[in-house]
Amino acid sequence: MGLLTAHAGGRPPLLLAESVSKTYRGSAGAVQALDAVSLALEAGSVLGLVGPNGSGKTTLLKVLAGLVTPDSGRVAFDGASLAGGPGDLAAETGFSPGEERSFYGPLSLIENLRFFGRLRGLGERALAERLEGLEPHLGLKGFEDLPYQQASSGVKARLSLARALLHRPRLLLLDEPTRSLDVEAGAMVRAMLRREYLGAPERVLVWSTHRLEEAWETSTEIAVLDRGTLAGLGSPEELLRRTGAANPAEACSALRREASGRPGAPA
Amino acid sequence: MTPRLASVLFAFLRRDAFLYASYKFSFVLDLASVLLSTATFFFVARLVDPAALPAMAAYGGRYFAFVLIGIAFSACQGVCLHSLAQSVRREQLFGTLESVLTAPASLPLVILASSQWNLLYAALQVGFHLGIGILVFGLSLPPVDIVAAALMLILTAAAFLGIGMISAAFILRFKRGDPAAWLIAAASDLLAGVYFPVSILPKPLQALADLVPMTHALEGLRLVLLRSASLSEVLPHALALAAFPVVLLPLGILGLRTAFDRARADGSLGHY
Repeated sequence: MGLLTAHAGGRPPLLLAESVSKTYRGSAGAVQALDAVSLALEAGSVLGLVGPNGSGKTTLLKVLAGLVTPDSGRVAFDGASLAGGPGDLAAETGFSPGEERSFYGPLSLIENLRFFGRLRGLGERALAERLEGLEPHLGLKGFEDLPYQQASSGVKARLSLARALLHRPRLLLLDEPTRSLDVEAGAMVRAMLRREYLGAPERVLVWSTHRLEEAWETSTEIAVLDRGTLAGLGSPEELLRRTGAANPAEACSALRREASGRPGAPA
Repeated sequence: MTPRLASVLFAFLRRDAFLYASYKFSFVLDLASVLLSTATFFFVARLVDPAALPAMAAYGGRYFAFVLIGIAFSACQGVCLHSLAQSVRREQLFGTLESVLTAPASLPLVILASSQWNLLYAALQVGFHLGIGILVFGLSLPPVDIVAAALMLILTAAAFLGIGMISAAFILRFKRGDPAAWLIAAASDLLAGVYFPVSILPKPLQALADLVPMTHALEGLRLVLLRSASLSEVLPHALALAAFPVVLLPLGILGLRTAFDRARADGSLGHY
């Protein structure tokens, strides 16, 4: 388990992103969201993406999910390219977007899950069994019949996680999954994610968060993004050691300062 | 049909039935609209003297029956043309488009499956029109050749779906504006014989009418429903109608794929 370079020997990486760049062009001008970002993750890795707003975390997750096409570079999971879009690896991928607005508001929570479960081939019994297994960690019982639009932010976040986990994806991509959760619920979710993905053969988890302590505690690897560039990449301990920082916040600041001082860094 | 495909189709149908049911008065309002438009044309038909309109003879000479079929299938056309684009727009507004597209189902399947409910409802609306015409306004229809009717309905739906896919591609790409459906719907009202026989139009407009799928659909359906025409009698209209999906369905699929790739490239798939 751990972060490899694309050319490292031994086992090939399960998830590979090579020199991925993405610029959004609009009437207000061009914004470089990702600049030559490379990642290579072995099976069983948990990669935490951290960085300030606009640093490229969501774009990177969407590129990995096949929802955004990079301008250049390549993304592959288990050797298969994602160039054709999310359909190519949809059966393997679970994605929880950062926005709350990703369910049908008038439908109940359970009806939303039934719909997305059936899209993934889960019948009523398989869905019930899977939800039973997730219940101790997500705590959705009692809310099943609540219309989505009436649910609290925390319940919505847990529902989004449940949807992403329903089909036991090998590649799980979570955009700020603990953002709306209280401390206790967040800890339960992170413990569950570690149990399901940490060291699991043939599985990888990539998640983003602004809670640096959580990222350090949960992830096997940390990627620090800053204005689309990879400011730092390594295990939590390694990043602390390399920067001489006393805590994750100091480490991130040091790495971002270092990256902005590099030749060619964004102003 | 594979179990996987059946599961996807069922998932969309069930979801849309629940979403429709969440808007309590939709059904009542739809039924009232049909009743009012049918009543309007029932009274308009009283002004029309069949003897003064030789062009009506080919359709049994009854204007109310003629126009009721016109407005019923015109409403059906409207739903078919717009339902795919509306399905895409609804996913954009709910914010579910990205989540749906990360499921293992192809884009054309997702968009067609999203439209099943609307298409079934469109068929139901045709039934409402004819049912109200028969039960409330005393319309009588002769026995119908079921095979001929089914063929005409399938070809009509296929032609409209091709245009619907092109419209959906526009919505996927530009979020608003639906020029393909708008153009066809506007042309159909004037040229396709919804309210009057095509034969009363000037010759150049009659030639243009041949380029509108609704013209052939209405011509064939009126023959089947008003004159008990057999399959062989409607075959020329069926063949003319069949040419539209042959061209439009591949174009629609290509348009959707192109719009999807462009939306992924500029990162606008999740935008609304």
